[in-house]
Amino acid sequence: MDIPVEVNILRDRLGDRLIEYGSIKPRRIYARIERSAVKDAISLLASHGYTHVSAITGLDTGKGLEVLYHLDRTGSLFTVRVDVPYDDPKLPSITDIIPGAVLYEGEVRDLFGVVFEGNPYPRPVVLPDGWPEDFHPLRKIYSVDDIRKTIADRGVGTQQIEVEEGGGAIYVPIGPQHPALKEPIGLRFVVEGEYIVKVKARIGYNHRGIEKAMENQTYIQNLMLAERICGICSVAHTQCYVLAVESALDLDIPERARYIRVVMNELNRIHSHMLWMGVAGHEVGFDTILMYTWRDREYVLDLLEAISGNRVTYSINVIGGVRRDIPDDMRDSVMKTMDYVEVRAKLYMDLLLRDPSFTRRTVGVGKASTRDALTLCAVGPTARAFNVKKDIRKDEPYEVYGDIPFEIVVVDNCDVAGTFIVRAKEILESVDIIRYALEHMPGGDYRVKAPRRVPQIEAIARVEAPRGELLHYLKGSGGEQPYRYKVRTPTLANIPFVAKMLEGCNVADIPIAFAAIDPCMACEDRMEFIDESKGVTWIWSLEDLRAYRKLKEKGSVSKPLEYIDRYGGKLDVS
Amino acid sequence: MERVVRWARARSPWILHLNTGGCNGCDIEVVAALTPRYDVERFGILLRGSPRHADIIVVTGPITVQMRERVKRIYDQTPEPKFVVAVGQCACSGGVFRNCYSVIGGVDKVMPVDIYIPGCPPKPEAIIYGIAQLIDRIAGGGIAWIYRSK
Amino acid sequence: MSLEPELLKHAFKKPFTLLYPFEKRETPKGFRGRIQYDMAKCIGCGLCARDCPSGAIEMIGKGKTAEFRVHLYMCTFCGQCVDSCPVSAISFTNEYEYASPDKSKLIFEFKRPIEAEKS
Repeated sequence: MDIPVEVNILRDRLGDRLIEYGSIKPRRIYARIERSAVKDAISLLASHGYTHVSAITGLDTGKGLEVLYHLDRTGSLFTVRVDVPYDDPKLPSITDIIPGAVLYEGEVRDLFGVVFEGNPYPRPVVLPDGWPEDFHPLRKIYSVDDIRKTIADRGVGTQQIEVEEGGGAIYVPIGPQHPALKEPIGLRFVVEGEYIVKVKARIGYNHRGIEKAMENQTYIQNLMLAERICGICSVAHTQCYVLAVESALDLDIPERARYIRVVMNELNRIHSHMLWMGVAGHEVGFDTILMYTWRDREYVLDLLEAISGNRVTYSINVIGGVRRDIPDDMRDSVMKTMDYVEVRAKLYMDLLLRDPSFTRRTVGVGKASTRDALTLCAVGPTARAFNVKKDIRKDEPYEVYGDIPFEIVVVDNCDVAGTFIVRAKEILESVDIIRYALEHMPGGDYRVKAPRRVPQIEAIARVEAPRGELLHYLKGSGGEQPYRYKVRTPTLANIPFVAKMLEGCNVADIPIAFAAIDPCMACEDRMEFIDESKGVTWIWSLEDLRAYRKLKEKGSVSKPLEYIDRYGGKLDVS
Repeated sequence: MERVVRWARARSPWILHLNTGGCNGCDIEVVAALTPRYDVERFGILLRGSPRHADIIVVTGPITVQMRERVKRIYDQTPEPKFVVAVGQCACSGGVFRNCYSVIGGVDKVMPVDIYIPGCPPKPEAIIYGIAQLIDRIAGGGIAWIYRSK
Repeated sequence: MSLEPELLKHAFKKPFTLLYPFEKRETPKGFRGRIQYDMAKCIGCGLCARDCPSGAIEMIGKGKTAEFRVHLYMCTFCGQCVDSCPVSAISFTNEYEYASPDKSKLIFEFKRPIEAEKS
């Protein structure tokens, strides 16, 4: 085996501390190092182009814990593996080298108990409030029943406690839920007047425990569970899942299946981006756009229903191919709808970029630099709006993306309007991809039989979901159930970056700036504001923010505190 | 007077949409019911932002550990008479997430449910059908003829 | 170009709204509605119940005398059972209108042909 250049560099610097290395699949190199070498290895790799942390996976091998750092350099994934004993699970944090790794380390800390010394994020990161500190659910010694019992015994989720920077604890009451499609995230803002100075996000409200459940179910059952990690980009999750499992099985699937998968992926992308346009329109107060885009989206959903049987969860990907074919008559209706979608997408792009009520609320809002996007490991259309040229479909082509001519859409607007342009143009690119795929689809089978058991092998699959880079890590156990399955969703990757985007923003722009990353978590909103100069703390919901923005535009108020003085500052939001 | 109030309430129920930790599949179908193709506003159904204005709580997603208290609180904040509709298999029973440690189960573990609408996700037509069944019950069968399918 | 010409155009077009429940769209071929069992074909292998991701299929008995209860409020309508069945005894109907105040009314039983088909 040819020793990759990077491994040679590591060997020179680390010497004995590089224990082993290898490359089982193309574009996948791994190196096992001693834990004293973590920072040296990561900074060395970062200086050789591996500046993007795709994910950090925790693993319980039964003999100890293992932490895998997955570093990406335009399509090539380098995994640095470190073993850590159960009784002394400490590692140095790499957030001073690559700040974007902060939430990944926090997640491994929550779920496995590895302590990353120097990680600034308070616990818990992904687990619910009140979760006991010494209890790490993904360790193998705990079964799902054990965890359920512990949660019930220790009253997890019954208290919502926020610890303030100063050390005092305040009891934060729950806010209302969002009216339209929104996700739960707890955001804490430090404001000065009407501008945001600092943002801290508390995620983890939608933690369900899927990774542990997957270890107790068969691959066939897990496929359907994977689809429901996110209902909007459902097919991206199943695509990633089948890629991981087929890679572990070394299964060759028919060409026709690959083309069908591409068509479904792109139809999903179109529907997701149109959905986002509606949501973004709603956030800037332009409900007409919500109605128009969702109306046009119905045509795409009709296609998806005709091909797969359901508008939202397609069940089209199976291990070994696709479940259903796209017959010729359906191909014609797809082509017709694509013509319509193309006309409409161009219309929306034209319309909204000339409309002052839209541009006023999106151009120049949520500004951040390209450098921020790179160091904070942003992904997807969000990153591409900030001049970061990353798209898994081009960097690491899967299925037949390598054979289909299309462009990555990158702009250098570096603001919310940029994210809109990127998504609108991506719809047009997807239309072209679908047309090409349908015209060049070969005949033949679309499915092969797949074994039910996966050997003790690891596989990492990455796809470009509508929201960005999605990563699935699989470790087979030799049986019908996986040993470990890890999912890193694109929204998790974008949270540190959106916190940066919001800095310097006007309070009234929070909804649209946050919506710009196309968040997909699920839940209610609860945003806490702190005006340090005045010493005032208050809590607002999205409804409050919208009301504030409307009044601000009318000129009735100019600062959040004025709104509170006049309309009542709420500590108990209802 | 009671019958007039009941008739009026059934005529224009205000809905609160609550996602308790699901995948958003059912959410987008509930919101799709408001968009031009299905347009539930023809029935006077309006989406409200606050539990204090709602007649019907439409719940999607399974109840997760961290949402349980919040959901209870929202249910308490909603004034009587209130009705609960569980949309989708997760809200009805926990569904595919039954082996997930942070998922407690369906909505009925936390509050009484008036109508269960199965599906994953149910089509907007199925959701409208379910809500129509509920309205029929609220109105005591008085205006059921409008909603009965041909 | 602004929104006005668009709005004007739509003012004269037929409304997009589907007047459900007075109008209903036909479900496409291959629509995934509620499942049904052809008990004459069923060999009672149990693969459907085993592969169901949400445990919605309850198998009572084994082999040629096995009977089934499908808990519709747990069903994901994914079609894995249809796929897994080696004798194609399970198929989709195109029914999707199900709502009930009582979960027990959302359980469908499939017994052997001697007795009634659906209860």
